[in-house]
Amino acid sequence: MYNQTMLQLRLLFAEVTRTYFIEVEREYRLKYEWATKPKYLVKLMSKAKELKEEGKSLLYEGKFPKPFLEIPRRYWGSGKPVIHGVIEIRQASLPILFRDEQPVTTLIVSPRGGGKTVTLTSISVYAVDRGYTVINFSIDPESKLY
Amino acid sequence: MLESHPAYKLLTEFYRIKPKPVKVKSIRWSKDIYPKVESDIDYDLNSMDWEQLWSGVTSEPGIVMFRYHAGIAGVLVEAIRAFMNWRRKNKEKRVLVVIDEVQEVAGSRIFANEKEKYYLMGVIEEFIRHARGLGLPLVYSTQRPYSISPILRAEATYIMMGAFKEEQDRKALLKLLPRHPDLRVIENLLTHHMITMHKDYKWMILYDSVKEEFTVVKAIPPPCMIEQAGKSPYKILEQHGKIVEHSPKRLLQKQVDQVTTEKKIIKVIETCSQTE
Repeated sequence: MYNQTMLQLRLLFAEVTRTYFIEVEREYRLKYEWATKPKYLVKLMSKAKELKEEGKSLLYEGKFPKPFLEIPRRYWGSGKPVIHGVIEIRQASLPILFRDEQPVTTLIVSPRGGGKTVTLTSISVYAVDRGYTVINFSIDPESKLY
Repeated sequence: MLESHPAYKLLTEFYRIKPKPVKVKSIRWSKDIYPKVESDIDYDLNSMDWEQLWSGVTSEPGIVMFRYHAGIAGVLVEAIRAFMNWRRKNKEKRVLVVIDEVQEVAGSRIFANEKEKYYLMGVIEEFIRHARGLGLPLVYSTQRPYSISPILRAEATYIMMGAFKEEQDRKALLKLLPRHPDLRVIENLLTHHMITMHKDYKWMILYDSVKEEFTVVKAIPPPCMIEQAGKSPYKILEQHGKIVEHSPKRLLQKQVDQVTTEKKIIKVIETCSQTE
């Protein structure tokens, strides 16, 4: 079911046009092809090269847009995650640091290697880009040796 | 998502999310700096100016790593209390607090002394309870769903969950959630532990306690991590930033120097006035 080949992800921009990128500036929409189709990769690479040669300014610069991408409900709503086909992911519209002028408290519960630290780092970098100082209390990795 | 994939690097070029320096300061109490700390938990830090420390490290945007280890629970209690006091006076400062492995911090094998462990747990819970009042956005993580205290659960605006392989963990996780029409779906989804563990998924189920709804999200690794996939995030952040070591010994020395110079000045003034 979770075949390695099936899950080998290839990035795909279905609409590799400038209009799309301008639209993406707000939406941060990505498309992924969940199959081994190198043609998409070739398409993407050639388009990237083309745009670079043209010297076109594409998107956003500077700030890290959002720490999360949202997976639409249709890909998991049945209780079983989608394992093939194309899925569309968009930028999560959740307020990250403040919500209705109240600070947001987030609890992350995940097994080891489940992306906890990556999520924390994403939120941290998002905050730093918005002028925040992040105070990270964590155990000294060296201390685990004692 | 394959971060190591060449196309992913291209994505960064598309979006122009260039890795830019993230300043990382590190406050580390190591065995070498304070050899006594290991044996003497109640280390006297009265002479330590915590307010000065917190004001200093929050003067500019960046990540301040506060690292601690076994035997310095007392220092941590002091640091958190001082931070809360400092925050009450400086609510306008943009500060985000992150506690990685909160259960490990609040009470675990690293503290030999049970009394100390519960004391520290109480302080951390107090801190989490007061975070909203202090105007502090807070993020805390754990990998043990069965040991989450009700306070940690109750204060959370968002609960982000990964799918656990063990049924015992999944049950504990479901206990954290309120009654909801989607609970059955989430229960089924949690049995597919691959959604969390497989590098191509890395999904997390997010419960929004304000809107009372579930969503599935995936963290976007920050640009500096995209560049160096597979490495420890903190190490990458350190590589990309300027590391400033703030050791208590150095800070105390600074204070001592300041006091001695002040005393010297006073002496000079006194001698001058006497001669006059």
